Amino acid sequence: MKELTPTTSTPVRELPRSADLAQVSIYGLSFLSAGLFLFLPFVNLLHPSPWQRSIGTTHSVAALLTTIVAAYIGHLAFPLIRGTKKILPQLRTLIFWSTLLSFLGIVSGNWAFMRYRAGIEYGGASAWLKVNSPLTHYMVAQYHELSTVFIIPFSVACTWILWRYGDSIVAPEHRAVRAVTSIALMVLMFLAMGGMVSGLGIAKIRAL
Amino acid sequence: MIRSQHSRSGALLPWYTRFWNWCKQFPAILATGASTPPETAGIAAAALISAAIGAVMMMVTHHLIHTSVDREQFIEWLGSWIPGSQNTDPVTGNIGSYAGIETVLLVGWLVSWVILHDLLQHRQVSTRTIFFGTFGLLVVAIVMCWHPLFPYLPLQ
Repeated sequence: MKELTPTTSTPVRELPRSADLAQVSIYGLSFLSAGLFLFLPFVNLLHPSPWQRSIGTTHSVAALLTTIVAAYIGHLAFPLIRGTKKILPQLRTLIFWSTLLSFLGIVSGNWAFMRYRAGIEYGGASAWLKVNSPLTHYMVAQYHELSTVFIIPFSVACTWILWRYGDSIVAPEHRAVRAVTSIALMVLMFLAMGGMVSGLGIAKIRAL
Repeated sequence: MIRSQHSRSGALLPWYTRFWNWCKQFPAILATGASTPPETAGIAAAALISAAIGAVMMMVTHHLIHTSVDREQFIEWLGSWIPGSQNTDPVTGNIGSYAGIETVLLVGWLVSWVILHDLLQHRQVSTRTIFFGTFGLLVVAIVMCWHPLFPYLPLQ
């Protein structure tokens, strides 16, 4: 009887045991680090204020995800300005997801802003800050409220341009379009980072 | 073989890498881009400059409503379509005139986009025009967000 031979060969074990251990450790620690970072908004769930637990957590999740995707996209501005074609498909899709996330961030931000503006007799953060820490209101809170909204029109514009011009954006005749779109992607990262830092700053002084 | 699911050596990638690669290519209609790209920079110029115009209009309105009660009431009415703008419950609060300046941004951005798109779509717009038209206006809008530079804006 003819002996059956396997059709697929098992991969040859190339790594020694110590290298396996290192690989598992690196992957494990990277997942733990990323998990811890993503856990940041859920610390709001421990807050004594019910508003911070519900609205604060929701807005924090949306803001953190927006910032992560915007930062990733901001870094893709470097290969885009150099005319690297292979990043274009992921750039076109991720800028769309960034737009969607930033929209959720603005909607949840509006929700948070409602409670933020409640009267001081009801524990409203804005009124409390104006009395107890006016510079937080003056220098941080106003900037946060206003500048973060700019993310929406610019991310929609970038989504439209990157889709409309397709792979031709790396062509020499579209050098101007590529340059200004790259700057706009970095602007998105700047606005998202500024929004998250100022938002965290406000919440550190006074929660909802 | 789907390239995004296998490494160059042909081995199946880990599930998280495959998931991330899937995210980067979904939806496919966006991943592939438009089939007939424009030949001029006018379409991009219209999209970016109009975004900056919307931002500046919002900030100018913000400054105007801080210097006139009548203007603030009008802008508050303008934003009354946004959920939560007119809530009367003092505990949950309301968005107030901020909804109005969001509306100004939305209207200013979209209306100027339609107009600029119509004007510029077949024109070759220079890098300098797009750059200063977009980022010059954006810098103005961002600077206007920072109250300490404008003494007439209230500290409290």
